[in-house]
Amino acid sequence: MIDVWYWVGKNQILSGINLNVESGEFITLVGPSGAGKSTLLGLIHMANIPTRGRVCVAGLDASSATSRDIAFMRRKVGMVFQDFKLLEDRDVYENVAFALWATGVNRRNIKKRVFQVLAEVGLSHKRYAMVPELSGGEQQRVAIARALANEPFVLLADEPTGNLDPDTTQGIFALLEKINRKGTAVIMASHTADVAERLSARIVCIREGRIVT
Amino acid sequence: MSLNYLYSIREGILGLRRARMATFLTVSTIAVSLTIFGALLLITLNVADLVYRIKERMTFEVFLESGLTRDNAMELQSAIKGIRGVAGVMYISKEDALERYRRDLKMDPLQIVEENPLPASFQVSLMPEYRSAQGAGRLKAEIEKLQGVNEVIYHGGLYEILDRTGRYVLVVDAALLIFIVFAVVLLVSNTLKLTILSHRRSIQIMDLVGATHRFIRRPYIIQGIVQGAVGGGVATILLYGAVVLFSSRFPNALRYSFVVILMPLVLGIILSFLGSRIGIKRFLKGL
Repeated sequence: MIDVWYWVGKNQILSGINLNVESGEFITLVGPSGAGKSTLLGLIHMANIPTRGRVCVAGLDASSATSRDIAFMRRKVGMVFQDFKLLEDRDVYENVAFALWATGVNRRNIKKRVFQVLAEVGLSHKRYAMVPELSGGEQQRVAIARALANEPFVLLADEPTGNLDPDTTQGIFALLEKINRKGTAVIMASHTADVAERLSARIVCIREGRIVT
Repeated sequence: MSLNYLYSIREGILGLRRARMATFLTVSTIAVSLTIFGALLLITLNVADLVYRIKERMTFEVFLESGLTRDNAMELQSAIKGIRGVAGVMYISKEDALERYRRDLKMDPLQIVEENPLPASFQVSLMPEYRSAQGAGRLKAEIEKLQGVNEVIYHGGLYEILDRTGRYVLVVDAALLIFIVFAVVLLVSNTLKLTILSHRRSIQIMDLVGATHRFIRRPYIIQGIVQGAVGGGVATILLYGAVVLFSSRFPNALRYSFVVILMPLVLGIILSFLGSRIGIKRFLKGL
């Protein structure tokens, strides 16, 4: 990200953001609510297009990207949210497989890959459980498994533990660190600084739309 | 067929089954609208055809001055033939006219009068582009100028009535047909909006994980096409049934072709494709 500015109407959300993410890096974006963390993740995911400046992900420049380019880029950029965004009328297996179906992976490879990622997040035994039957921590693990299904090089996590208790939060952090150790870069947004301190990650502080450290 | 397409077809059909009530309502409304469309089209084409056939049969009667020799009459016939807009000229001699009179009225005028009172005449038929009140009026004026012509009789009033009626029917029907076309597109696109709203989350997730818009769109477009094909198919069957029934009671009264009968089916598919495409495209733009 080079000198990125982002406005919504007359409100300035981000100002002059410069951020470079190395491959395999773990970054925690820390800042109070409304500081612009989610917007920044949205810019990397190209859900938001910068008003000014340059956002480049895996060689794709946001200013010239078509919706098709963005779709293909997103297959390599996993994303998880505080509210999990799972399909509640489908089971764990189908939720993860959905990401692979939607990107045109064939059935045999879907099966193999879903079992791989469910094993990675420790949910192989709950593959036929429906989403409402799972705890919050388990639901977030399903969301992480879905984000990993297409083998992304970077995982964006927007307050992934915002709805979870401290023990479950610890489990999710451990999982994110494990994923990072395997080579996937992780960029996680959090509004509490102590979260970041518990992780061996580069801390980037955001306040009022600016990076302050 | 690629897995992508199979997935889209499967999801499209499943979507219709999941929303059975909405699907039933959409399909039946499409069927009713397109049946009305087909019937209107059939009526319009038949009215146009009827007007054409009536005009085709309408001819001028050009009565000749008495005392004109047969040679003069032949010269006059050539002159009338040479007028632009005249399709054919048939000579009816005094004797032929008398014969027609006898045949039509089943009586012999010579029993009443001593001499044949009927004048010789020409029956003039018009080219299609002159079969209007204006065109016929112009021809009448030109024929009347010719020497040897005593009187030209044509049904100018009828031409006017036919022109006016034909125009009204065409305008009203065209407006109705356009209205139905828009109604079907709006209907399909609005029903699809409801379906899309109920699938909003899965569409957002598909977008999130990197599904292309084309991939996301496809099942919904397939849903639209299936609805249009079924609705249009039902309309075609109803229309064909009505035509067969009508024709059995009134043989040769109705003119139709299979292109017209199949129109609701073809239109159902095209309009539903357009409606669903517009509906899903709008939603994806807002993502």
